[in-house]
Amino acid sequence: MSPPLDAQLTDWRDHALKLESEVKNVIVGQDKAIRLMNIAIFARGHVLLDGGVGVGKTTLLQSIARGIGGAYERIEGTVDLMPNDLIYHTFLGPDGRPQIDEGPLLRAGENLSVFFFNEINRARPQVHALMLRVMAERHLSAFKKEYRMPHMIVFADRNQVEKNETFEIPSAARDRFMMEIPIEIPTDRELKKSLVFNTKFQHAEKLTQQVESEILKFDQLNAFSDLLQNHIKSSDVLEEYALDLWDATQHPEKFGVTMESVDVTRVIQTGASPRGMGMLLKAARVNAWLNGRDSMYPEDIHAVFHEVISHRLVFNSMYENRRTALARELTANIMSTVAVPSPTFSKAA
Amino acid sequence: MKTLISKPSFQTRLSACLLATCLLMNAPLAIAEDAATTIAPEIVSLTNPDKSYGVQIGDKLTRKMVLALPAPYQIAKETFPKKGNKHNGIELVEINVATEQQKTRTLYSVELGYQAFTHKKTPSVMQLPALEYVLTGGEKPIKMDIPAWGFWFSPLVAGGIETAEKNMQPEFKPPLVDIRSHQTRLTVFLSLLLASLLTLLYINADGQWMPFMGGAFARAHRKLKRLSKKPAVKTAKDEKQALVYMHQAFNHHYRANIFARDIERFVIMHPGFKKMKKEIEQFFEHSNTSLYSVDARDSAKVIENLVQLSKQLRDCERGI
Repeated sequence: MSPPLDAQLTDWRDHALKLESEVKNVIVGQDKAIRLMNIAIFARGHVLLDGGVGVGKTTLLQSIARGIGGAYERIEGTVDLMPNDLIYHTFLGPDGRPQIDEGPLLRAGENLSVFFFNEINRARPQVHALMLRVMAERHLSAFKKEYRMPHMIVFADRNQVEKNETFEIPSAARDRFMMEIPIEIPTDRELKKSLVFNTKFQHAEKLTQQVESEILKFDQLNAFSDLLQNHIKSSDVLEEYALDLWDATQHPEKFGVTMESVDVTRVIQTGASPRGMGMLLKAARVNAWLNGRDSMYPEDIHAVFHEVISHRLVFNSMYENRRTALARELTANIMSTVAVPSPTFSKAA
Repeated sequence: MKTLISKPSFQTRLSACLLATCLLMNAPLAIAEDAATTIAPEIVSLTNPDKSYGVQIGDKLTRKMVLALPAPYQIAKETFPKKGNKHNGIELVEINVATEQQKTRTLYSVELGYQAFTHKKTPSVMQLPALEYVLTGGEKPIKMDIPAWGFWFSPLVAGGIETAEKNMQPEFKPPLVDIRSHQTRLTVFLSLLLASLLTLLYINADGQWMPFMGGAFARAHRKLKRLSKKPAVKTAKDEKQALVYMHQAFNHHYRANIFARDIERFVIMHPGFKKMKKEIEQFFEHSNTSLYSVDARDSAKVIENLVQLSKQLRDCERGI
């Protein structure tokens, strides 16, 4: 017999906050990213990490993977990486005969909890296609059998600065990721100093080992996530607000949203997708739960709005090269302009 | 004296006895005469016109008199003056007589209305005529005289402007009292009064009577008051409408969509609201509960609280 719902919610929240706390002890200056990754874990969404080289993305991921428990696999995106490299690899065995072994995707089987695709934008579109299919379906047919990866969350990293020998991830593929989380260098001077001069931050493996392992039960996350999503309620005011936000991603000018440097009516080609809005509310519910509430507030949506929506926006080609800055400005302006409670809602109610 | 009393002669004694006898015999007659004196007719009151000067042609003069007659005497009717009688330019135009019978006497109230019709051209002394009433009904008739009443008759000036000019007297402009200090005080007082009234209006008035009274919270307060005065039972819809008014006011001041996390910035942008920071935080907390949680609340009470809060915020908005 399972414990009462309230007890489960409280117990899981304690564990989730402990995971955050443990990771924050070893990764400094990334509190917001850690919270967002925690949200993605409980919303069961894949994450695209966006950041420069050497900012601690891998260490962060390894720390989180250790806290989640289960198997952690990783692959490097290169221009010659082929889809089958994810599934198997061949080698000569001790007997001198060629042998085939399962690749990183299949190796851990159902125990795979975190799959890290480093520099995904260096891989070819064929690899993207396979990866995105696995992300959506969480199973794969190989060696005449079905491999299931029900607990897998993909964390992919892309370097937006370097463009040589890279393949841009198309919008449809980006849409499969729940969030794109920016990993930035901390702005606080003391933190910077600590990162540079404190030798403990220069041994990533040792740092990772400091995180308590298996804080969460990775194989129960899916079931708990369903429970959580059903438990958190949203009022009609909030639902109207979410719809207004969605509308504003498509037609920002309708809500009086403006942008400083560009004509807002010409920026957007396509706004957020229905899948994207679904993911937004899933993530917002997790945020409400982490804050100890049973109902979603607009603040819960705001906490994840930029990270869930910005990579789904399709800009007109002339603005694509400024995507990062424009997307941040647009999402910020949408949040500050779209009114809640909406005056039109009160009239219609 | 002592000698005279102590040695009276016989004749003297006799004379004294005769005198005493006579006196004793005449006593009832003296008493009767005294009684007749006490019940003699009398003028109880006589009221003449108030003004004995400046009487002009056509003016009416009224005499009122109250006469007390011993019973059984009455005034002979023929002795009353007749209406229409003229005497030296004075005509009797009205006569009213009223009687009141008392135990031992009869009271006559006589009102005589005269009108001056004389055409004298110079001021002159005239009089309302004397009257002589004859009282009958007793043993013998008695006469009763009412004296005449004199007054100055002032004729109207004959002629036109020329006469008036002749009669004009040189006039001097009366010296003016210096009222500048009073005017100054009055101006200051009125200014203070006006300023006080405007201040009171500014502080307390709900309406937008002055251009700078239409702040966002003032508008919200007006709408909330209207909403709270609606006779219908307050529903969750009304509560949400009330919250919309408040949020719109906050958004207007913040110039963006404001949330609980923005309160600190809000009070920095608008220091006038700093003293209400705690209440604003409570408002956002309650608003979140009301708008986004499914728990039911007492909408009427919520709206009433919002009316109070909006008034306090309106005061902040007006810098009070």
